[in-house]
Amino acid sequence: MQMPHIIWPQWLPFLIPLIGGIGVLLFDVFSNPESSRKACPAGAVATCLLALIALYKVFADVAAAPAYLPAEYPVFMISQFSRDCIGIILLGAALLLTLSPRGIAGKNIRAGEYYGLFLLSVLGMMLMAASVELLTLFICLELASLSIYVLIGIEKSNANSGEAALKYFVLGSFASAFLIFGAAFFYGHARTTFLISESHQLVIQGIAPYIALGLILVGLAFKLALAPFHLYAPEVYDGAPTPVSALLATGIKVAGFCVLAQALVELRRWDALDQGATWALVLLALASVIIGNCVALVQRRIKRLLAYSSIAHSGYLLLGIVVLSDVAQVGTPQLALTAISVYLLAYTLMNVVSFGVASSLGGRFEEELSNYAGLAKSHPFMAAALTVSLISLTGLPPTVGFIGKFYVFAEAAKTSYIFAVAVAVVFSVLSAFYYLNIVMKMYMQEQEEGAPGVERTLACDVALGVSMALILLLGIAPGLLFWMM
Amino acid sequence: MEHLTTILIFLPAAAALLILLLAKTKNDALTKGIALAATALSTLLSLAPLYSREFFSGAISLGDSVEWFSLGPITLTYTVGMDSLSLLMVILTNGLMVIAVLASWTAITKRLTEYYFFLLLLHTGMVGTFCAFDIFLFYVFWELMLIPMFFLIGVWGSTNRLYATIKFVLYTLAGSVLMLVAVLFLCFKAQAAGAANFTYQELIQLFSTGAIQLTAGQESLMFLAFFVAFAIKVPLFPFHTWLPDAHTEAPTAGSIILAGVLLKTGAYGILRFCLPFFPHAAVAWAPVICWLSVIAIIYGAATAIAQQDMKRLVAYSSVSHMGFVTLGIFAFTLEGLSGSVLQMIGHGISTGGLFLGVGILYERRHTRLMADYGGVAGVMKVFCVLMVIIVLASAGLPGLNGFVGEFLILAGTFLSDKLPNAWLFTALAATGVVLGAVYLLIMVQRVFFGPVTIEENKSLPDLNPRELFCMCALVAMAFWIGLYPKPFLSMIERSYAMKNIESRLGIEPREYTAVDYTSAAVSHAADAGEETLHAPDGH
Repeated sequence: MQMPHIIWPQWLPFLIPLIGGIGVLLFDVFSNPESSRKACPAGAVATCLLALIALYKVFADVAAAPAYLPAEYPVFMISQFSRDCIGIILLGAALLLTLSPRGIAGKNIRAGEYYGLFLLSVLGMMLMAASVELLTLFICLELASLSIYVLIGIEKSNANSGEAALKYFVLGSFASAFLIFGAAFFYGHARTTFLISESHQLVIQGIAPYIALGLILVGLAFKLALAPFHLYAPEVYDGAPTPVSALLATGIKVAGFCVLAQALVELRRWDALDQGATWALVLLALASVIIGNCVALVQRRIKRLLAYSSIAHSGYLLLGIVVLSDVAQVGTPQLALTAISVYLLAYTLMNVVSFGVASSLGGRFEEELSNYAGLAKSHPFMAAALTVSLISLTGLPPTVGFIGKFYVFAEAAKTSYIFAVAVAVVFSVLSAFYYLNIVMKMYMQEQEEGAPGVERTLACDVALGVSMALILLLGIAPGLLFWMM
Repeated sequence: MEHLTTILIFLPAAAALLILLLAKTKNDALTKGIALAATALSTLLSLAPLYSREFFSGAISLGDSVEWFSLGPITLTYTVGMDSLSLLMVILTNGLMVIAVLASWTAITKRLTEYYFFLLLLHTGMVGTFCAFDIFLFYVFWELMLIPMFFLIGVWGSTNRLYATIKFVLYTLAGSVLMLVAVLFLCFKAQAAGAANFTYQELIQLFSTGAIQLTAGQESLMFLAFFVAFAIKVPLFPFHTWLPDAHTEAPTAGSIILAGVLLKTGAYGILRFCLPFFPHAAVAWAPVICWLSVIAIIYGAATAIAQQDMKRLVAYSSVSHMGFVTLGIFAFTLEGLSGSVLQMIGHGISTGGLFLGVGILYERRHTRLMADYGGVAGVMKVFCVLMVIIVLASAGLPGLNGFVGEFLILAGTFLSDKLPNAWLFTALAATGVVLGAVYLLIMVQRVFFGPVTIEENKSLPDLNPRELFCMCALVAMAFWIGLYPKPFLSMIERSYAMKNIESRLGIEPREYTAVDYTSAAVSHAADAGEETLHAPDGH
């Protein structure tokens, strides 16, 4: 086999995190802990931002025609949609890395390992979002997952962290097995492992391809924490270090939704889907919305609540994805893809702030919800940031969460599944109860005992301030979204 | 003058931001001053269009329309403007906001910055709701009213405030998300019909030319989705249960705004959207809605009689009075519609006044139970006189605002040709007027008259100039509407909203003959409102 001719600049956005991740790991080996605690986060954040800039410079004009990498054997495709998804992953990662020094402070975690693995898992997610070939997808997913398995359990002295890591590892491997089994089935039927390709047409006949696609969907649904594959999420989010929980809730989901959306666009292009596939997605979406919202109502711990809320949001997002698979739908999928990327951006920003506030306050604020009573008095900035993100999660204007929800639901309302939108919005009313319950605790209840003196760090304030400003700004002037993307 | 509506919408929000920026100075007087200045300036500005002849041409004017952002082929616009219905509502909002700020002057002592921030943000939401002429923008402003009120009740309310505030939010949100689905479906339909944007004019155009095709079932569902959202805000029985809690627990200013303005946004939405967009469904559902309205009128009044807590009493009286509004609207007559709008304004003034009065008493005695008062008339003489006038206005005494609206609504319902058994609704609703007098006069009797039985009540200070100003302003308005409602009625009749309703529902101006005694009085009511007062008054 001839070695593919590689055009280096095209790989730059992916090389930067690779070099950054390995660089951070190596730096930690050759320097003292004190200096690596300072330098590693700075390096990691800079890596993400550089990669973000490189991404938009290199792939500035993919809107017209997607770029395939490498050209001879195109296992990666950078379309406008996947570029935006990768951008969202990098933005979220940069914000979470900025929040990380405070988030892992005093937790017996080696800085180099943490930031190095963080960057490598981000790289895995970026590649996963871009991959269009099943084996590549599997490898990229494993790169992201293996780094995350370690990150979840990185807090060695904390038993919960270890338990969460083991749970995620066992269940995650199981899900990966589904994915690879699905890929094998797919190859057996289609004689190719390419989900998306310019050159050949997918033909779907008989039951085998549906088994294949079903198995792949199960593998992805696990990573997306869609009900009924969500059971690990609350435990894992609760046990992992908070910035890692946030990465689980944002980055990997963005990547997964990107893969799912692109695959559906391709399958529909060849008229390869029938109504049954769409129904499966609708049911998955509704199950997630209903289970996520109902179970979140009774949660007492902040990270478990955010886990169930993220399950519900996966459901809303999947409703947007359903549009892509609806066979009755005519016209280009571009609008629906835009809606999904807007929602993914909104979702990432909201979760960065919600998890970020918990991790910045640290200690008991990562645990019981009742500890948030009276927060507005002791930490007005944190309370305001959390309030904005919760209002956005509820989907009320003038926040980007509302714009995202409106976009996705507006697309979904065009299909014959408008009833699913109605069910989703009715259950989203429940979400107002548990989100605003936190706001009520912060603003309307008195503190039970003296607040612990949490020192505010500039990095946290900047990351939270930027995210909060983006949530409001993009909610008021959504036109900026299209200027940005 | 060009961008007046935009200025009116965002002036309070700008003031709110200014207050937030100046929070560090911890200067309470400055905060209150900014809030008062912003609301007073808004009021003055909103009076300006009254002097412009072009304004009353029955179109939307003084607005702006710019592209906000686009959703594929569809452009969502920032389209605002005012017709005379909007203007009336905006003036009511601004005026009541001034009173709300003054009512909070000494009553609110904790977390002032946040309080005025949310109050002014709410102001922006309300004015925006009345002035938005793009359906998406309307929805945004509609939802924008929710969060500030959530905080106003939840932080500055009384003992049971947390329960009340979350109940308020969930009820309102449940209604509005269904409206969101209807809006989405409407957008989709409009897009299919070739609409380039979702401005009100574009949609009404598409509806009246029949470009938007809805099956009867679709129209019915869409109507209900919009109507339930509005009915929860009004609130119509059986969606009213959030209201007594929210009103009772809210701080005085919150109650004034809630009763005075927020409830009107629901009725405004029905007039602006439900009737012109879905006329057939509206007519089909009218009997049900009118029954619910009549139940609300009687049930609200009967429950009010049983209340011990003054704020709860006034809250239930709102349910009763707003029942008249929906009844009048769904009678589909000119008299009923004009009467409903007038009742909206009148209710804003009289119920605002009642809550203000209860608040004034509460600030002195820290109790709202009628049993803790008695004989206040002898101690607070000026207050008593003004309060009794407001009570009588609310009870519908001729010469005061309540009467004109209720009379027109009853007459309009009686004459309705689209409503089966219209006489029955009229008769039942009329009992509400009697019951209204019962509970309000019970309150007056227990609070103001009789001997002073409780020691603390002997030395209550009378109104200070600030409170006197607020009460007098409301009393003056009550007299104005009661004695000379013609300017208000002509503004209502000439509004763009009424024109749309008339043309979409096929409401013809009535032709009266001189001998037709009943209709003659009504005809006068419709085109020369002042006459109505003297005719029954003289008997």
